[in-house]
Amino acid sequence: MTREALLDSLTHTLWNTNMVVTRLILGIAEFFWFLLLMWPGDTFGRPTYSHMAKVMPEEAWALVFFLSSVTQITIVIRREFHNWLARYFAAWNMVLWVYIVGSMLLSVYPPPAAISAEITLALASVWIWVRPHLLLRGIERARESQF
Amino acid sequence: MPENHNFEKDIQDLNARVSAIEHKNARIVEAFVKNDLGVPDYDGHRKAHIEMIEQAKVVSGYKRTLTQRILDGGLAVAGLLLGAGAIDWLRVHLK
Repeated sequence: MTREALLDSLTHTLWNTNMVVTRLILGIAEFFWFLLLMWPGDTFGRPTYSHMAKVMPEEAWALVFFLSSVTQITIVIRREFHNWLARYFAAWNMVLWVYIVGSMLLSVYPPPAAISAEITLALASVWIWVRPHLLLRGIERARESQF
Repeated sequence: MPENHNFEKDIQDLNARVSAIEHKNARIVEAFVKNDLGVPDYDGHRKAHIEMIEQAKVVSGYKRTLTQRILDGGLAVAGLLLGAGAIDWLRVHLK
């Protein structure tokens, strides 16, 4: 595969595919976070969660993940990805995922390999929020170039 | 032409075909916005399409440029992480 073909393929994958499945996976992951945080026992006693534990108790985080999961899955079911709720939620969801990944990376050393999927989900949540903004900027640039 | 040819039927067929063409044309004309003269703006429609094609080219180039930057950034981050890991490994093993 040539460099040009690789770039074409990556451009198509990043920009011309829909993010519905990504949203669904984020919603399912948030639901699992909720389930596992609600599981009997002291999850936050482990050093990986020490930063998160300083911010809120385990049950409060579980509630945050539950609400996030319900909202995300509702957006997917209703297929309304561009209304105000979906847009603001994408921003909130990005903050949530980036924070939990950052907090876990800052809490322990060496970085835990088990959060590789979380890092990927954080990147996906960033892309869900940022892609429409970048596309709008591209469209504006195209319009400006014609006048 | 045979003497018993039915010209009446020919005219009826022709009328039906013209009527179908008129109907089709009316639907096509409805698809265009009207210009300041109140007639379908065929030229404006053509220009709008040219503009859209040009815009799509600019957006496509923009997407490609950003993809290239994302790829470069991703490779740089991966390189940094690998480098940091290698330095850490050397530090531990050279002690």
